[in-house]
Amino acid sequence: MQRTRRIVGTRILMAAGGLAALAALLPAPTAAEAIGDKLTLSGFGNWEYGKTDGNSFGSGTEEGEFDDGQFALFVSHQTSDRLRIAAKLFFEINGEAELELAQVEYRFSDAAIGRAGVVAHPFGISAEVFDNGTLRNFGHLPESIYGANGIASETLHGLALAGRRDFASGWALSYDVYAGELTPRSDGFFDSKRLTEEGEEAPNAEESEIGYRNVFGARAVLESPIDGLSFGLSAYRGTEDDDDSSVETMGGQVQFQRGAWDVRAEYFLQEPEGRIFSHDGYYIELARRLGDKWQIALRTENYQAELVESELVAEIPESQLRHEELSFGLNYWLSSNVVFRAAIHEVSGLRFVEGIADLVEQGIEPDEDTRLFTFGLAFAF
Amino acid sequence: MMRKLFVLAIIAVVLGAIGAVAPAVAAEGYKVIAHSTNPATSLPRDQVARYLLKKSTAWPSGKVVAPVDLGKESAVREAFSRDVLHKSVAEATAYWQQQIFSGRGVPPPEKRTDAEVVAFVEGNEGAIGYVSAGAAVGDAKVVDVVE
Repeated sequence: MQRTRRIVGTRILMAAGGLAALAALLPAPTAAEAIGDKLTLSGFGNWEYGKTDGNSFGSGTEEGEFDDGQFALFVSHQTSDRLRIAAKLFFEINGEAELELAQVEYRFSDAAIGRAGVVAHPFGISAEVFDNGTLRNFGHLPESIYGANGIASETLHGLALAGRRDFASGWALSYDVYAGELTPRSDGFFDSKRLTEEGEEAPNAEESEIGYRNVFGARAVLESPIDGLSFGLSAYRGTEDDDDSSVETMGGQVQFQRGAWDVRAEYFLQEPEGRIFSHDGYYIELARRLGDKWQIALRTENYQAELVESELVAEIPESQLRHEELSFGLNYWLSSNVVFRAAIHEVSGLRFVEGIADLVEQGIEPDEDTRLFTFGLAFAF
Repeated sequence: MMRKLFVLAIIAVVLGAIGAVAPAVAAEGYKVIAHSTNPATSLPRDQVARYLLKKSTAWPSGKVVAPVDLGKESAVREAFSRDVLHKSVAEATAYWQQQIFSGRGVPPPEKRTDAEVVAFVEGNEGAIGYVSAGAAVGDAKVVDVVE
């Protein structure tokens, strides 16, 4: 509890410091138009209600959960033609605050744009816009890639270089390369399942907030001459803070967004040297607008962890190593910035179900299947 | 198994994309304007799109491109967006949300009227924007958009 308070307090101080630094850099405005053209203020918010038929999963519990909400405030100042600064504060409904962006950007050219500070992690389709509900077709991103599994991080603390090259044939290549530290989402299962140097499962391995330092990574996205169709590859390699073991993550994406259609698919593989497992996951998602307001969405996803082959590693029930999910959603877009959504998620496997360890300790056999109903909204401005 | 499904997904996306038809450039409803000192008299549609989406930020002369939009409710913007950007205004809004919240960029300034767009273009040497087809363009110059 004390450590949690310190983390929250530290984050609030970082947020306040970031805002103070940003305010100090802003020049005094000379005209209303200058303010409007150089300063951008934006934000987004989400809220979701979730109810399951038993297990606690995602935003839902058996009793029904109303406390899944987020809000973020973003500010950007175009200090000069080439120099821009930006910051984003993120708030959870439970009061936690986090500085998700505090960057300086310098545009050398369209092919070379440098960013430094707390920057969005250029990984896959959605890591950079992890919490923005108006940029996805369901209330939450797929667990298989973006869940609490040590794969995707929302932010990178360090340096990044990005750029774009357009070719006469209609193809375009966008790239990102970066170095620094990542703090991916993780949970008790991922945090604690460690190996000792002797290759045995670490006894009483403690949960901790994981971090990868000395990270080097890259993403390349190829836009095809067909409007809206793109392909991408992402990868990074780093060192775990706690035990100096290496972690390698790589994967691919394909996306088609045009007119009524929004089609996405991603696959990722991660091999954490210091863990008792390697894992991979994929999802395929299709969404289609029905007129201006209504939208239907369908998603299937699969995640699988595989234990290392060693007699020194205890067996874990197969159901706790996998996650399969089929989701159907119905969205109503009040405007391009506001959406109401409802969805049903059919889940098989216990990897991302909460409280499994407690149930097992109590001698209760958890149900391998979970049905989650969600209703919520998202907005942006 | 999952790799096969992933490959099938890629094939499905590509086939679906091939089946979609691109809209043609329309000559009426709007006109593209630039600063009077801009040497361009015509521009390819995809280049105009890159300027308005800030995917290209410099003119061949090296001058910084300063794009400007009309408001989201404007019918002129809807026509321009579909014809030139190949996106509806809603799709363009989503594109800019992605850019904003990933820290990659911010949208062009939005002006409420043709006159405000013209004033912006007249006051910025690197500016490019669009107004309704019948609007007075003052000292700005009209640039033809070619496919």
